[in-house]
Amino acid sequence: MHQPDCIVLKVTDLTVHLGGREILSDIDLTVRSGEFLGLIGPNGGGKTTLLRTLLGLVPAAPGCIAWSPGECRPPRIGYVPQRTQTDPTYPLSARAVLLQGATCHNKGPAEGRLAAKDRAEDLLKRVGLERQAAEPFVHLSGGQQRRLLLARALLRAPDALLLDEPTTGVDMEGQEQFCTLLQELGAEGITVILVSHDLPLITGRADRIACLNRTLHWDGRAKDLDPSKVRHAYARELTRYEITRSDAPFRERCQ
Amino acid sequence: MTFEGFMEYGFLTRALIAGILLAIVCGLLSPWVVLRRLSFAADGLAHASIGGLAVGLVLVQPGASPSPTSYLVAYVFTCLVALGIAHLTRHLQSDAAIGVCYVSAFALGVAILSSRNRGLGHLEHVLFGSLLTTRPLEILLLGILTGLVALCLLLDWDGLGAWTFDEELARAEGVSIHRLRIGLLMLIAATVIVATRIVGVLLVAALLVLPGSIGCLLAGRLWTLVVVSTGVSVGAAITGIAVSNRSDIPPGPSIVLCAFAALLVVLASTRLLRRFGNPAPSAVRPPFTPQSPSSCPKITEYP
Repeated sequence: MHQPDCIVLKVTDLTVHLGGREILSDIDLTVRSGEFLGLIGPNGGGKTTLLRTLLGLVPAAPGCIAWSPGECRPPRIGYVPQRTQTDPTYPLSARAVLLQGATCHNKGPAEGRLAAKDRAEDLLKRVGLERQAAEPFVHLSGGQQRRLLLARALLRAPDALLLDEPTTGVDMEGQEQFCTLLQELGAEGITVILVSHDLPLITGRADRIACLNRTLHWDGRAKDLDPSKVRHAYARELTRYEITRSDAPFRERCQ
Repeated sequence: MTFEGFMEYGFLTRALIAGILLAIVCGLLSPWVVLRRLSFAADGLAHASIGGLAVGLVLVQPGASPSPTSYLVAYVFTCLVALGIAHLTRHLQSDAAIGVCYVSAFALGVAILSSRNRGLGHLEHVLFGSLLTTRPLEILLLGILTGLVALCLLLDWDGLGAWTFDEELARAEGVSIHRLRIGLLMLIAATVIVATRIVGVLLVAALLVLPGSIGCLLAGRLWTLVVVSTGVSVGAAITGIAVSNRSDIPPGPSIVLCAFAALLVVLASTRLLRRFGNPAPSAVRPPFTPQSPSSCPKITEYP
């Protein structure tokens, strides 16, 4: 685990192009250890692309992204995707899916794997899924699947957690429990970067908010959030889809 | 014919050994083919192998049966088709990429075989195989392939497991997906090349899909899935060869029909169990955990 308040992530002048289009431009962002950063922004604003770039799934120019600058050990990063591309007939149980997260990185002796199994059972209890552990993963509800993916990410004992809209489609109770768990993780020193569209929830829980639409429109403490800056970021999105209105009936305009 | 009588004939013994070895290889590979939705790719590679076998058999080393050199040429050709599929998938839909590659390779194989007066008669051998004419060479190749497949699975077990669940998550967790995809396609290519002689290209694809499909219906863990798949595959091979020995059905179709019958039995059994068995424990929701009001989400106005 990193020292409190040390810099875990430093993004400098990040620009990302995908398929010839500029998706992100001039992103500067610094995240400290144990911080809970809420990433908000309109659809198509580049939030998921930023997460994928931080994970190394999307190429970025060298030197733009520095995880744990100044530290010898690269941080362990846990990732909870927006949705999985799992086949609806995928047969493996929730416990087996969880343990995949451990075995993927634990190439050590058998004792390490046994310890991972014990830890997996603890995590299943922590995310409230011990009863569903033997069920096929695809039989779990959307919220349960996200909680299991969170447990899978935590199995790596990560220094930083990247979550892409994990509370989408989850009921209020589920959102509440999920965010409480994230706050607890922050208190344990795990850095959390959470992408969400749920502004009331995220502004109430995160330490810091970053508002993204191609570039950063706001980056600061959640309680200091400037609604006009956020409105401006979202308004840019709305003008992109502005519909030309006409008083004339559709049929007349077609003639 | 009794088992002792069966074993008296060398060609029958070789057929049995080859059938079991092929069943082990297909049973080990089948779960990954099914879970990664590579069934069409496996079928495509099986068809494409005709092109490779034709090149190896006719152009490189003419002869009645494939020699080691012919097998090698056919394998390299099929691997190139697999790489072509992997490359074209970046530009086309994956099924279109597979279709384009395998149809072209298949057409090349038919053209070569026909132009060298080794037309439909030889093609029938390639399409449906001939288990009873298995030679020690094929048994040796199958033995090597079985060891190779088992070794690859042991070395890449964790990465393969993560890949079957979700490709992007596996990449984020540090798994080299490209290496796994190419490696799996190479192993499938080697299997279809060796199996062409034994069960034919039309039936080897069935052996790469059916055991894994049955395993998916029965298993909840990866290792049990692989064990069930391999067990079903070997069982179908032994039963199929026994049925073939007592009837006029050739061994290849007989093995595939036995595997299909096993799938039907498992499907029917699981449906009956679901209908008359106990409800799943997940139907019970976990109890509501009350939260203190201060920990409730702060509702603020949208900016």
